[in-house]
Formats: sequence, structure tokens, C-alpha cells
Amino acid sequence: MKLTPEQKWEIAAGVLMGATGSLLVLLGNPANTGICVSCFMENSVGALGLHPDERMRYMRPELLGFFLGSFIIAVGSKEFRPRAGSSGISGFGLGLMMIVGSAVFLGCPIKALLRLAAGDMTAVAGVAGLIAGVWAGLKTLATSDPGFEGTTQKSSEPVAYGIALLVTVLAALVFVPGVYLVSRGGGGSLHAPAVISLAAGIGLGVLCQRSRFCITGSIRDLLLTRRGSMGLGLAGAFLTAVVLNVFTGQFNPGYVDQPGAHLEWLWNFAGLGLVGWSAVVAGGCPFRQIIKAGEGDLDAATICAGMILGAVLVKTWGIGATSAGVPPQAKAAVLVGLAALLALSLRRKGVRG
Amino acid sequence: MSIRPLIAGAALLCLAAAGWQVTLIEPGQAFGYRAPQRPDPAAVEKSFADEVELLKSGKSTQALLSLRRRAEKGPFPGPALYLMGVEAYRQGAYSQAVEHWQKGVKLYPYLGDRDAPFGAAKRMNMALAELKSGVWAGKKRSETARMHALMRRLAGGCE
Repeated sequence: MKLTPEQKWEIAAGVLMGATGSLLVLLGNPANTGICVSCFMENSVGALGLHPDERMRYMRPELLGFFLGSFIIAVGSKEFRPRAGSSGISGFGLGLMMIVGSAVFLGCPIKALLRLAAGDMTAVAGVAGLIAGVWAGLKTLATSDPGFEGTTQKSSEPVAYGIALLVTVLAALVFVPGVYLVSRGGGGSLHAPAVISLAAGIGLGVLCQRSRFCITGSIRDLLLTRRGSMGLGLAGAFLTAVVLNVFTGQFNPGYVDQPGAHLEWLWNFAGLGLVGWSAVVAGGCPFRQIIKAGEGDLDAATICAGMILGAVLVKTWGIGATSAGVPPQAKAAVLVGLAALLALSLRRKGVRG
Repeated sequence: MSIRPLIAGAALLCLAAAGWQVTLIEPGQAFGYRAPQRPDPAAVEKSFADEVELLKSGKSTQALLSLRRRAEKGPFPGPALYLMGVEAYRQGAYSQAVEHWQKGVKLYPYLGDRDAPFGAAKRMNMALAELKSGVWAGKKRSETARMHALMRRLAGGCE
């Protein structure tokens, strides 16, 4: 099989994602959490004092690195185009729902892949839910107009560059002690050295901007085309993580005693189902939204803002799961999210206003 | 036939189920959750010096009375439950031990950290591994659910 340049980029991005996901745990990140956009968001908003859980406070350099890597390569390759469509409040809501769904599963789609690659069989229901969610999202886009895919217009350059400047300052402040709040125990206190985390984040940002690699995007393309070549990045990420986990002793196959997991498979399914569905409608998983924001996509930046609010609410209102299970308020939040997506699916094509 | 009524029905069903879940929320579990502050582990250990001494000298009834009082009224109810669990485990009351530990970790999540007071995380991990491969090896999963939930919690990962 002859690989196109895009496929080569995608494989490289997948391999780096799998390697980073495994090795950052070895260097200090929480178990099975080498990369997790939702966990990192919760940690980072905690570091800014935006939620009360003092065990989840650390400005994750990986998260800032994703954006900066994408921004740097987009500017370098003249792909930095400040633009915005008509997403507005619906994009904000989709971002919020992606983080709520991830918090119920205890991880974003990337972490689902990494948990599976570490032998965590509780992630199987989540991955199945993610696929079902992507399928539902495709149906929504095919049969209705969720009001999201508007015409994209060139947008204000100062706003896009301003966001990039803000993220750069936030990343620089990671190296100034005492600026951010930090956890003295719990998940927030576990992290790889900041320089390595930032470098890994930038590297992933660069490769994923070039390749457009995205977990839900790959699943969407697989479902649409039914061609295995659409899943090369996914396969690269999964296999790399499995191999490295086996060699570093982090591969612990099992179901009941997995770190950062619960056994409520129905809610694992529903949580990532909500993420997959929202992601397809929004045009990418939480990770991809950060990459797109780095390219100057202000719709993606709006979705990221929704994700930030989602991370705050998950911790402040307790609408995420714990290893003991899923509390009623988290179940209610997922159900409201699913109801909102169903309602969005009711909008007929061609009817606006 | 249009599937729109079905979609609308499913959306309403989701909202109704969400409403039902809201009625199940325990007071204080949503809107304003506060994780407990983390005091110095050495200070926690020092505050339990009397109870630990009583346990060491075999006066477990006296020690348990004091621990129970602290588990109900504080200070440090979580670590008090942890010590009650240690004593229950020593006496072979394994279910009770696991229950105490699980409640203790919930009240005081720092018991699950590497630098927990009394080396609690390491001790609980060892005891649970012993239970899993020993006396509770053949038990049904429903009977050992608490133990597995605690093991997952102690295994780390993002919270």
C-alpha cells in the first residue's frame, strides 16, 4: 500500500500520541493519563482557582503546548487564518457537553484509547459509546441542520493573535513558581517535568495540525468510507501505546481494579456517546478543537471556552464520575446533554431563524 | 414515516430521566462540593497518638470508642475511620474494615496518596491485595464491590 503524504503525517501523529500517552505516565503523570484533555482542563482551571477541588490543581503544560504547536506550525506554513462561522452559543454548549461526557467516562476520547492500551477493559463500553455517538452525529448532520455549519468568514486578526499571546503568557508562567495554585495531593500533584510536558504538547500540536488527526474524526471517516486506511493514525496511537506500556510494565489487563475508572458501563457508554455525538456536530474532538483554535479558528476557540466552563462545572457541581461510580447529578447532566442533541437533530434542513 | 416524533419522544424521555436523577441527589453532593483541606500528615498522626497507643497496648475497646467519637464529630474523621478499619482488619472483620476504609478515603481523600498519614495507602493496598488473593479469592464480584472500588481509587489515575 502506497501512503499519501497526509497518511504519513497521520501515522506520525498517532505514533507520537501513543508514545506521549505512555511515557508521560512513566515520567509522573497520573496512571493511564499521559494525555487527557478533559482531566487536564479540570486541573488547569483548578490552577486558576476556578473550582474548589484542591486535589485537581495544576496548569498542565501539555494543554498549552497543543495550542502553541498548532499555532507555530500554522503560522510557519501560512495556514494561520483567523476565521469564524455561526457557531456562537451552540458551539459553546457543545464544548461544555464534551467535557461533561468525558468527566462521566473519566477521560476524553484520547484517554479512552490510552486506557484501552493499558489493558483497562472498562474503557470498552466507552469506546463503543464513542463510536455510537459518532454514528449518531453523522445521522444528525445528514438529516437535519443543527445550525452549526454556517459559512466561515474571515475574522478579526487581533482577536486570534490575542488568544495566541494569552496562551503563550500562560505557558511562560508555568515556569514561574507561585503564580498558579498547585495541589499537594491527588491527581493534580502527579505530573511529568513541565519542560518535557510542554515539549510533548508542542510536538503533538505540530503533527496534529499538519495531519488533521483527531480520534472522533478518524472514527467518522472510518464509518463514512469503510476504508481501513482512514484509521491509520488511530492504529498507530493504539499500537504504540500498547507496545510501550508492555515494555514499561504499565500494561495491566483487567476490569475491576483499574485506576481512574468505574464499573458503570452504561454510563461509560452514554458519557463518551455524548462526547462522540457533540464532537461530530462540532467538527472535532476536544483535542482537535484546541488544534483548530491554534490555527485561528475562532469557532473552535468558542468551543474551547465551553470546554473550560464544562471543566469548572464538573468540579464545582460534582457532575463527574469517581472510581466509586457515577452520581445522580452527573447522570442528569449527561441525559440533559443527550436531550439537547436530540432537539438539535430536529431542526429541518434549510429552515433557519 | 418521519422519525421526528421518535426523536422528540427520546429527547423528552431523556429530560424526564434527568429529572428523576435530580431527585436522587444527596444533599451537599452537588452545587458547592468542597474537597477537604490537606493538613500536614505528621500533624494528623500526632493528633491520634493516644488512640494509637491504646491500640498498641491491646486496649482496643477504649481506642475504638475514641475513634468512633472522632469519626462522628472530628477532628479528622477520615483518618479515624482508617484506624478503625485497621483494627477491624486485625480482628478479621474484613467487610467492616473495607467499609471503614472506603468511607475514610471519601471523607479524607489524602489517605490514598503516597505520603498519607500512617502510610495508609500502602497499608490498605497490601491488605486489599491479601484479601483479593486470599480469603476473598472465590467471592462473587457483587460481594467484593467495595473492595474493588477502593482498589481502583487507590490505584491512582485522574480523579
